Amino acid sequence: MRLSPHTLKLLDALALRSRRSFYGMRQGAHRSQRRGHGVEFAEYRNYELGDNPRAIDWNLFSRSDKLYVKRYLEEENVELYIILDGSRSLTHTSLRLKWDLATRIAACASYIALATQDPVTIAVLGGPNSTSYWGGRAFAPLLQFLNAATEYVVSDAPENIDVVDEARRAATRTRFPGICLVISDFLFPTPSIAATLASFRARNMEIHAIQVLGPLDSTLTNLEGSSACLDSETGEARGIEISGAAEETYSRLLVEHNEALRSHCLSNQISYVSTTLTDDVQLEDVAIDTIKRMGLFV
Amino acid sequence: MITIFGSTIGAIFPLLLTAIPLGVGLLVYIFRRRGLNAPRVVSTFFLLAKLPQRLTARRSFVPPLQFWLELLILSFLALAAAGLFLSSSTSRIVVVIDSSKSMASLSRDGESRLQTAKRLARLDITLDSATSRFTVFAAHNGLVPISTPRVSAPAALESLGSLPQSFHSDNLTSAIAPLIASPEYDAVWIYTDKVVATPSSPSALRVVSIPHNSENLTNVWIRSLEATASPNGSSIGAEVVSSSPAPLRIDVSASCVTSDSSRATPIGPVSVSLAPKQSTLVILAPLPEAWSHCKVSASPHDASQTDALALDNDAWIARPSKDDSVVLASALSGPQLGLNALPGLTLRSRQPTENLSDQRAIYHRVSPASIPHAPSLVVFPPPGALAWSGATVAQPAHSDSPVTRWAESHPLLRYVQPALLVIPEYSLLECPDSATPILFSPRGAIACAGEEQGARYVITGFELFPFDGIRSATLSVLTLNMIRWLFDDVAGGSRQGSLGAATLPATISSASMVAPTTRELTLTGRSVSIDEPGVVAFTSNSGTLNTATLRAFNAFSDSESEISNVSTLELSNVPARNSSSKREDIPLERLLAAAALVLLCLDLIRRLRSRSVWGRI
Repeated sequence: MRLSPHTLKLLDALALRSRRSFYGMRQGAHRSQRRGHGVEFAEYRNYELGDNPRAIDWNLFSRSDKLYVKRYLEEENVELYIILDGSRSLTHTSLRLKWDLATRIAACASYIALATQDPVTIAVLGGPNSTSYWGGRAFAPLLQFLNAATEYVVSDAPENIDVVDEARRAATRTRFPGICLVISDFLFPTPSIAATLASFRARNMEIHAIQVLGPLDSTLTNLEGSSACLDSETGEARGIEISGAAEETYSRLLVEHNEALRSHCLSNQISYVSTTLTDDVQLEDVAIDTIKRMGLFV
Repeated sequence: MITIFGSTIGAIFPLLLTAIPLGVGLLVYIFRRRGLNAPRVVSTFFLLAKLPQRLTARRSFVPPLQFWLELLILSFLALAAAGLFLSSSTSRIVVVIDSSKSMASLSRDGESRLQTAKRLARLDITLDSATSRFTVFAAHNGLVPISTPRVSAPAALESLGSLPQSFHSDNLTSAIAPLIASPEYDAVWIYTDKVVATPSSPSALRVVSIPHNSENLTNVWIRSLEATASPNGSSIGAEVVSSSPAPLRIDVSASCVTSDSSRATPIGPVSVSLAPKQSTLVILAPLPEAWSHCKVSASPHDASQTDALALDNDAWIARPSKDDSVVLASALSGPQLGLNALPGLTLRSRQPTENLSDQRAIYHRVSPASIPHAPSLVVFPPPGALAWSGATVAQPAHSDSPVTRWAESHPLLRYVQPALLVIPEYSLLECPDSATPILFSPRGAIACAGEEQGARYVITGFELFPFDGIRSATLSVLTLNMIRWLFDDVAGGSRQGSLGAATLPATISSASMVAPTTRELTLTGRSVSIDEPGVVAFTSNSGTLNTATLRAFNAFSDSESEISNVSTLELSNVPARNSSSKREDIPLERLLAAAALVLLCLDLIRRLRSRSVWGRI
């Protein structure tokens, strides 16, 4: 996978803007909860032994005859966590369009974050060694990781992973609070979705849920003519009656499920965007559009 | 080649049509393969599990819309590849049924020739019904379409039932000439009682001569009628003829209607014996005082003797109108011209300002100012143009016996030997378009006769008067014929006409048939079509009074009534029809390929529209 120069040019115009402030590892472009040597004044504090005398506000001392030290807001980097759902519903060979879009969204977000020296960590649920990590500050190795992960996870063999458990394990291995992008089709029960997102919320992260739906997920029309459907995760085959009524029922169920997902995200201060794919779209364009709609990158 | 709904369809490569059943099987196999052995992988059954389920095995094949579209596309492509074409091998046949008067004659088994013709035509049409389209005409003096062009065999058979018997004479040769020459038809079938003069007619022309053996059949017919007025009363002279080879006794009777009573008065019958093929004049008298029109009938005296053709046994005659005066436009008076010697001719001189266009008139050495609307005799007009279109008069020339040629059959020359005419001075005439030259000098016509707007006229380029029967008998007979032909009521005759379209004077406002049935006739412009013998009343609205004039119309024709004679049908210049070049097959490959392309586009559009569009939630 590579991003085109045109896409990179579009991404250069974007920057990562978190809604909250986090403690960072090093100097960066984001306001930190830490007080330090920034340019933005934060507060006065009584002078204590050991404080640098250059921090004393001498004008205030002349007026109040007391020693105060000026404190400034620190600007530090923010850790960006990208959680890719590597379950078979995205990585099945015949469904990999969703996986390709998810990896492109991850690549685009990573590119923007790395441009401001923000570290990026990518976790693939169901990847090698159950959960794969990559932490780095360079873009090329990140792409290599995504390509390697793609080669690993994309398969047509049924495999049913426990996304909630995988998400919990991935969340326990995060070091600092940061921004967390969860990219999945979220086609599993809402309680499981809530549990998955709760794993990262418990780590005090700013969560963004990105739903990626494929052509077969959005409508039953594409199933017309086929007598049986095969579950990509369990390998179970079922005959689904394709008709106008079934089409309406399925559309209604999908809308209800997405509405439940949206309600959950809103009530838990999780941003939520959904993207439905078709066969004939440019994935990078869809990825950039999704990135822009998240409100995280401005 | 197969014929469906009258259209013949063929294929250049018919073996390729087997691709259609093979394609159907292949499509069914493909669609079943798509459904059973290659199930579609879906993300999860999380939502799909809530939909109605069905068994995946032993499922009946219910083809979706896409199957039918693909099947149609495949079929169209296979048909196009097979070179399907629409063959125009359907023959376009014209069926002409002779419906002239002679076709009404009965055979010994009681079937008329027209019925025989219809029966034979029905048989031929039925035999060729699969590959032919028919156009049916009735032919007598002209062609009358009976069916719409190129109808199917059942419609043609149905139209034959409505083909009427005509009273008209036969003019089949010229009537069918346009049909034979027309390239729009592949074959012309003619059913007539005539025989073909040239036996080797092309295959495109089929002449079916109705077989008839009329040797022992008898027909009696009326050849002509004339009414004679005398101080002793009026009478009708009927010229009757028999086709019987032996002397035949017949009865001739009349039935006259008077103007003051609608009840008919019978006259006769008069029984006479007819010599074979000889005409006999039978006088029916006395007529009622106020007779308006009469019907004259002739039939064999012996009731056991059957008359084969009944249509010509009756004839009609109408009494002339009251106004029988003739205006003389001349520098001389009537006695000076000898016209007072003509019995019954009432002459009056022209008034100085009188307009003669609506008056029966004799123009002596003067030309009418306009085309007369009443019978007119123009005698020796001065050099120059006449009122009729194309009519001119040249300078007089001198010769004692200039007549070298004449129209022998014209009624004006009856009992006249034109070669004996002595004419010292004459002018050459350029006859009007509506007239026929009747006398010719070596340099051109010197007498013309014709009819314009329903009024007869005669123009002579020589002097007729003074009328003197003793000194110049031939000229006097010619003059009497002219007077009789023009002013027949003056000479004791009657107003008669022939069937067909009659041109009327401008003053005629309506026409209605008063006998044998009473009905209104439709005027078309200044003409009326009369297709049935009878008496017609013409109403003129000249001035403030409406006056009605009766005129009898008959269908006298010796050729039609002489049923024992076998007339011939002259068919010359029959163009040969090349069956291979006249029929162009209509290829359907492009049409089918285009239809397949359209269906393909429709399928693509349908797929694109049914596809989910990338969007936002």
